[in-house]
Amino acid sequence: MKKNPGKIARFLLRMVLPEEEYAFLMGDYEEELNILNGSGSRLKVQFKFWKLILESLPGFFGRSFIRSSAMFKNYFKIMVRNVTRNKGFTFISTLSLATGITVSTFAYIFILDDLSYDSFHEKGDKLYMICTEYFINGRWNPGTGTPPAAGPAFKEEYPDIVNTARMKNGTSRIVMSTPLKKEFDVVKFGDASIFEMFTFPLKSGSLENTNNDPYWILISEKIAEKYFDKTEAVGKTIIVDNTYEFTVAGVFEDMPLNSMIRFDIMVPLEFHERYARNEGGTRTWTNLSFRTYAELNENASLDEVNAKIVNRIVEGNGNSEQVRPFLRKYNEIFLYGITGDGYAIGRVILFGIIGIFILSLACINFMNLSIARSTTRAKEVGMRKVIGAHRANLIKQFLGESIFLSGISAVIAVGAAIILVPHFNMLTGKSFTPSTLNNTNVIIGIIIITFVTGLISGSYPAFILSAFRPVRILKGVFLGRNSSFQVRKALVIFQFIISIALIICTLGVKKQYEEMIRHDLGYNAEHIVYMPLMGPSKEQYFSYKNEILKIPEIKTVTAAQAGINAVYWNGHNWRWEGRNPEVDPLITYLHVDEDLAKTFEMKMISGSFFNNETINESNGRSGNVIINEVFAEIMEDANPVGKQITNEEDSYVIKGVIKNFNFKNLNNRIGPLIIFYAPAYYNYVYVKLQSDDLTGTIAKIEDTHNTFNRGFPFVVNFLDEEFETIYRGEELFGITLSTVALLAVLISCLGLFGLASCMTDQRTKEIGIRKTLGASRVNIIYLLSVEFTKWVMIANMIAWPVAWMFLRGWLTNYAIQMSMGLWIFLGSGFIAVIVTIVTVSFQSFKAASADPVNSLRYE
Amino acid sequence: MEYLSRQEEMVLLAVFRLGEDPSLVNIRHYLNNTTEKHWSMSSVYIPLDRLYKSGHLKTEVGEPTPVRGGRAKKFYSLTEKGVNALQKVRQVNNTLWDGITDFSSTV
Repeated sequence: MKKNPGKIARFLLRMVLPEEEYAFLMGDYEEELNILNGSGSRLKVQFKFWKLILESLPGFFGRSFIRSSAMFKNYFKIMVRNVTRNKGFTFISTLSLATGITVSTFAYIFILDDLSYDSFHEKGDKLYMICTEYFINGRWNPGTGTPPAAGPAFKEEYPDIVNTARMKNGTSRIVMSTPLKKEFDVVKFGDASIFEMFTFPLKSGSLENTNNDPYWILISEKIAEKYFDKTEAVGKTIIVDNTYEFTVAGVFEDMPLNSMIRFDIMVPLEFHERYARNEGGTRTWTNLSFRTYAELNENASLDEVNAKIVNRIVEGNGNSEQVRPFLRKYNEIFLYGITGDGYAIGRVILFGIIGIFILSLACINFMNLSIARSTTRAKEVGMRKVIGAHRANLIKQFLGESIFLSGISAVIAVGAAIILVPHFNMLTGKSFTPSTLNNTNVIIGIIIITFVTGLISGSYPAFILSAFRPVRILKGVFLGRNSSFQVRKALVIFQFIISIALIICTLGVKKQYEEMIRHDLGYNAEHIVYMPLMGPSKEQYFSYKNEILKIPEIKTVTAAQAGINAVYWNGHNWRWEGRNPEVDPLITYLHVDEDLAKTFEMKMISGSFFNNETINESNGRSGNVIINEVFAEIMEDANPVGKQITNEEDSYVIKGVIKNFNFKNLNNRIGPLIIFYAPAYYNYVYVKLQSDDLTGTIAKIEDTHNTFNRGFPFVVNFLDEEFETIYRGEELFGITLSTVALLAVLISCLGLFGLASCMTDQRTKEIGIRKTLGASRVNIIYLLSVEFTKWVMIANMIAWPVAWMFLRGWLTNYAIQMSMGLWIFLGSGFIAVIVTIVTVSFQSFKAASADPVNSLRYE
Repeated sequence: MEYLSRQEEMVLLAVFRLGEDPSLVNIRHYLNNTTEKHWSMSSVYIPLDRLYKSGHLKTEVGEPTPVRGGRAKKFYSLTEKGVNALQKVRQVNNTLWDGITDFSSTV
């Protein structure tokens, strides 16, 4: 049995108890321990004893606080005196701390926000997304696409699945008209049951209004105000696509930002069959173009349900086991992705690490500087001890000082944070406002950060300084280099490791970004504008095209069913002669006119592109198709031109093989593609311009547009601008990293500056002697700098492998990877060395120029 | 005139009752048992100290004992001021409670 309270217990109590009472209370605690001994197992006794101590600590601490008010005046006076005498040091410390706290605060709110994604759904625990795995190239690949028919079928056939809701992938820009306004707006096709499952409350109207009306539309408050101003929107009519009359069934609250599902307008899924002239499109099993969500019964077991549904899609499309559905918990998807490997959680962890890193850099600065000042404060410590201060008093004094300084830095930091919120939003794509910081969680977080920072930063003087023996200090034995120097050296090296690693990662990320932008897309997107086709311009596409071509600055015109880099129409069940029965890949479809290759400067590998095609009435397509290289490889046919491929409904002849081009975000590897010739499916027209007067040319196009589509809004987009937005994520990441790296370097430099000035101060006598013995300025500067440069070299050696590992891991996310050239590492190291030398040289120059007479005067 | 807080009142009464050994540990255990609430070391010590500083209690230091690791023990006892304060509280209490048997009807 434990006889005496342990050292930690005694230490803690000594800290918070007033000196005179310490003995008595310590005795009381020992008595209590004695009583406890024998009341239970040793573990229980320990536990109860510690509880007895810990629960009383805050009380004792508060009491001692109140009682020592007399000393406060003195402590405060000394602290202020310290601050004013060492303005430089205080400034550096406060600046570093403020920066650290600002960065940590931002990291904290970012993490809070990401973690709160999708957490507001009441049925959260029962909501799942139906994902699919499809077999391609010998592996099972997970994806979020489900067949349109899956939703209703699953709900009906599996009692554990209580409700389902589908949404078509992607959105469509359709004309919305009310008496008040007429505009293109972004529309989502989906099931109204989304609102039954997910918590998106309706402000007015009711979901029941969607039951018997095939032309219901649900809109957000924002949209309601746009089209109906202050009047009630429910029950009113919106004319969609200039043709269809829809009734507003309900107005829902604007969807929050931290939600994976976000839209402002929803129309029934079934309407898409009419709108896109895609009969049966919402009831088929053969493609994966929908997102389906499911609500499970409370008692359902996920594994059981997964086991039950696993073959359903295959049954539905009469296929071999190529597609397997599985359920994934909805509120885990944002953070952990559909396979649980991690998605947004990556950047949560990243920001956490950044926050901790920068904060530790700042703390290190503070510690370093206070260590550097310890020689001067040592005398104060000695005096206080002589007069009667106990070690506990000194610890409290120094910790109090550092926490106070930390508090002041925190105030500055919060001020800075409020000002910088818009910039942070730009970097991260979030939408914080200064009032985000007003949240309880955030405030508590900031207070804890401040407190902990103060505690850690002040720990050196508090615990090490307070242990000094007064006699030694007052005698003056304390000067010169001692073990504290090693500590400082280690700290500075650590700072540089972090800074250098950050610089390397920044350079790496930027390089990757540039590679991705410059990568050969397989086509030329320059000087291409595109516009949606609808109504007359869609129906009379060819006349429209000819009219546009009459404009001299237009080089070529073509059309496609979707954005050239966002083709989401895909399907299975393609057969060809000599096909291996197990091979049934997911093939993407693109419907274009005969000028696609010409407009985008795509190259044909064999055969030729569309020309003089005849359309089959049955499917709206011509009998010829173009396939890409990847598809030809899958077919394992070196010469597929002229061969036939079929799917369930039709057969086509391969007219040519086109060189691979990226039709999705560059992150995805290029998959097999079939290009059809099918005017009925054209949704966008692409126009290649060659003009010095862009506005003028576009105005001419607008005129042409208006002759066909009077009354339709004219919307024109630049294709190359689109790319910049796709890679915005990476671009912003690069900017974030470089900002962080810059801050890290700045803080490290501040610290280095302080340290260098300290060291040179200490060595003034040495320098004076050297100068008298004949050393030149250059010699002195070299002498002083060489030490620091060695430190930076060591930091480099450690930072390089660390950064390399990080970059390697990060690059696996990307299909196209830049090569990690050596120059990234060398460059960073070089930067670090230059920065070090420059920082140190200020001080060393001053020292080297000093007149030896002055430094040796008091010898 | 200031009134004692409930906590202080209970502590003072405990000190009085524990005539033989009114030390912190004993007071704490006594209060734990009689009030059936958990009293931490600080929740007993702080009122004791406050009452001592304000003159309601006086202290005596006893002999060091091995059980306490060789440290002395402090004993508390009521002063005249403490007694007066207690009586005053009792008086006020009595006035307020006088005549109430149950709370179903007014007095």
